Amino acid sequence: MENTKTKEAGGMPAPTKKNSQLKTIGKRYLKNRLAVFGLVLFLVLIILSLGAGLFADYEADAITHNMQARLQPPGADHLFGTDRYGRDVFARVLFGGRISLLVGTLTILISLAGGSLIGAAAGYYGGKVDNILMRIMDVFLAIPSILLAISIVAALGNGMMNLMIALSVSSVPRFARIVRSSILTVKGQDFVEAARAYGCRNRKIILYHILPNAIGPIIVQATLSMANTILMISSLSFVGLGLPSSIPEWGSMLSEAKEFMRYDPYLIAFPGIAIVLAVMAFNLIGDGLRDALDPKLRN
Amino acid sequence: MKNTRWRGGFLSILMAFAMLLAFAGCSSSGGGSDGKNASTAGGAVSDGKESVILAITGEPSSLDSADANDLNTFSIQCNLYDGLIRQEKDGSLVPGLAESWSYNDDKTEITFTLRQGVVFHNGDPMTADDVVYSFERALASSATARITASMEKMEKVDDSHVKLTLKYAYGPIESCLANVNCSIVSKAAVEADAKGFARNPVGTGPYKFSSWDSGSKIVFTANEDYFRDAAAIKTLTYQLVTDTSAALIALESGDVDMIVSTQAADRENIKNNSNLFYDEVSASSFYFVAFNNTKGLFAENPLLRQAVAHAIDREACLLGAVEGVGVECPSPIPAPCFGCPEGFEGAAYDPDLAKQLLAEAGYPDGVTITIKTMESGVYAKVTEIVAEQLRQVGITANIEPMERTAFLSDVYTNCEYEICVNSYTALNPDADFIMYMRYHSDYLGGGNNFVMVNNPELDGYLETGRTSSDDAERKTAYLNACELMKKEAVMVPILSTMNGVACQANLKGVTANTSQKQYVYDYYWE
Repeated sequence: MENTKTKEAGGMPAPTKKNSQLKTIGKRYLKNRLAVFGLVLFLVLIILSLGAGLFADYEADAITHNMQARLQPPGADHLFGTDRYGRDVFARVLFGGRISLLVGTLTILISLAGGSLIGAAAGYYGGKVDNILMRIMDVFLAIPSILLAISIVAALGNGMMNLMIALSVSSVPRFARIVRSSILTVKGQDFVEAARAYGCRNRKIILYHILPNAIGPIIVQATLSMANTILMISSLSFVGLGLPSSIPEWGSMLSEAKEFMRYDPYLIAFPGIAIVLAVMAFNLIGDGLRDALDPKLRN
Repeated sequence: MKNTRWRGGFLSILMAFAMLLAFAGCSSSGGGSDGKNASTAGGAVSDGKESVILAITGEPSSLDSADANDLNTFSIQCNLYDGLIRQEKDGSLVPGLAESWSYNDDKTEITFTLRQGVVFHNGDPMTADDVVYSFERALASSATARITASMEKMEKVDDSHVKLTLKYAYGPIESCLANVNCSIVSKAAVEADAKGFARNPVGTGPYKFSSWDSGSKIVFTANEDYFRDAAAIKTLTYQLVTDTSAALIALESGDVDMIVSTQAADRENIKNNSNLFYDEVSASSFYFVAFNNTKGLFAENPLLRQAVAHAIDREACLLGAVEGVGVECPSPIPAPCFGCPEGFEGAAYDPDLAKQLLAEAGYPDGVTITIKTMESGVYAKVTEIVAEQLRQVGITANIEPMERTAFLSDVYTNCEYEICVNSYTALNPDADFIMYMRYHSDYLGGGNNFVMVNNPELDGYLETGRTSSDDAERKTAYLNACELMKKEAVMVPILSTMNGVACQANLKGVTANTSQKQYVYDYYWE
């Protein structure tokens, strides 16, 4: 409490104080066992998918068809078995993680940037700007995000770029809302007044004074959105609206496997488990961060 | 924020639900119809059971015989109508509403002696006027063009004779006359309500129309006055179950009695189930890679077409796309069709040759192409395998999966494509039905010859095949046509699937049919 007060009053936080604040947040986070589990899961996911090349060869294992070795159950040669075209399911799950993480991260970054811009402008300037921007966001919010994403992908066509556009557009309004409400709570505080009294420009006030102090809820929203986005990617790929079918992706793996669900359940189990774990990791991290960042839950 | 987290959870639940639904959707739809004794999967004794519930994956486009042009519609309508000639389930042609017929010397006129005492479902007797009227209707309809192309006119000779005049002597005319498109309909019923006829048909067939509940089911009841005696199965229900996995589960649980178009992946499971009967036969359709032979990359560069032809491994396609349940199709005429050249060898799978041809074609460093296809079922799988095989020889193939209507409009109607994966079906098992309108220059573009091949030599072979009445001569013509199409790499035939049917083991008389027809008249419970 003491630290925050000093910082707020000073307007420009001293580096050492900031570090110690991060430390307390970190400490609080690490106390939460589920959150730590989520973090471990996340790290494992990152290592496995970024290091996928160490475990399997993209070209030979995940892409190339090998009809002689099709539909082999999990075993020593193929840890997770092989699919209908003789591709190694283990390799595809690993490389599929790359797609989910990459598309997910980029989507979040795009929608975070867009949402922050819109939300900050609306929250800071208020009045007409607020009304116009937020009513537009309301229009988007009125459409269920999965439906919006489906329509955008259907209109633009398949492909990684279009997938990201669709997912970003459908999650921008939620970021805009969060950022706007965070800004509204911060904007009336004394340090903002102080910055204004210094003669800071609006842009500088928003970027250097307001946003850093409103970042907590935004980070939480971003983490939880990541889980949501990974699910959306899988859902869209499942219905054939994601990436080209040869690219390993968890959702399209599920969709391909459903014909064999009764006879080779492993085909649906592994990508399914991967989705569950990834989504769970981000949800747990998000929850942990929310609790750690919430000043009301300090003890 | 709590809200957002739940949205994630909600989505996952939704996905799980969608999968569950795909499986469970049937159980709520199958049961309790028409006082049917619910049979158990244990194959309970079906004493006195006189109804059959047949699962269909799509509704017929119409129940009007003059407005039918797909196999699913034919297969349902064949139980409502009779033609002058009748096709048995083994494919043989026997007298139907005509007791006999005779040709003139040059085989351009056929005189039919009509069967007497046949009545329509509404009780009216069938007359020569009805026959003439039915043919006039069929000839005027655009939907029947593939079947009636050779027919000029039908005339009444006297009360028990009619005469069909052909535009030219036509080898497979009798199988055309046995097609649903040439069914005899009640003139009085059509004239009373021409528009409503598609949903209230009146024919002479073994079953009468009873009700059609759109999106759910169609019910027929046995025609007690049928001229071949009433059918053993008194109530025939077509139950719509769009998902094939759901249909199989409905069959296993006894909610439906029979399913058509089984999935290749389910075949072993069905065969090993002693409560079920399974039968299959090679379909009169085939999947192929087609090039646009008139415009674009492949039209300009025949070597590129050859390269693709040699890059495709039919065996791998057959295994990967349909679990090996089917046959490789080396020629553009599927095996069940008359005219299929025996022992014909398609372009050999030879990736090295393909690479070499690709280099000769001017693309030593590879080339990028876009394959259009339909997003559903076997199309998508064949395309994915083909794209991978092309990648192996240096051709980067982007797949553009399309929704059915968009595909039909782009590829069939407007010929806006460079290469596509598609399938043809012979409406009747004769090469003419799958060759003439598809590759003859008279039908260039616009829905028929969409591969846009324009080759006078090929035209000649196809004309001989169509007009000759000498079987040996026709066979030779089709062999030559196949050789020529292989040489020019007009298209690359890949595989034919199997038509599988499955039913409760105590339902007898069921057989798989090349054209997916189900002759329910022959069925009975044991």
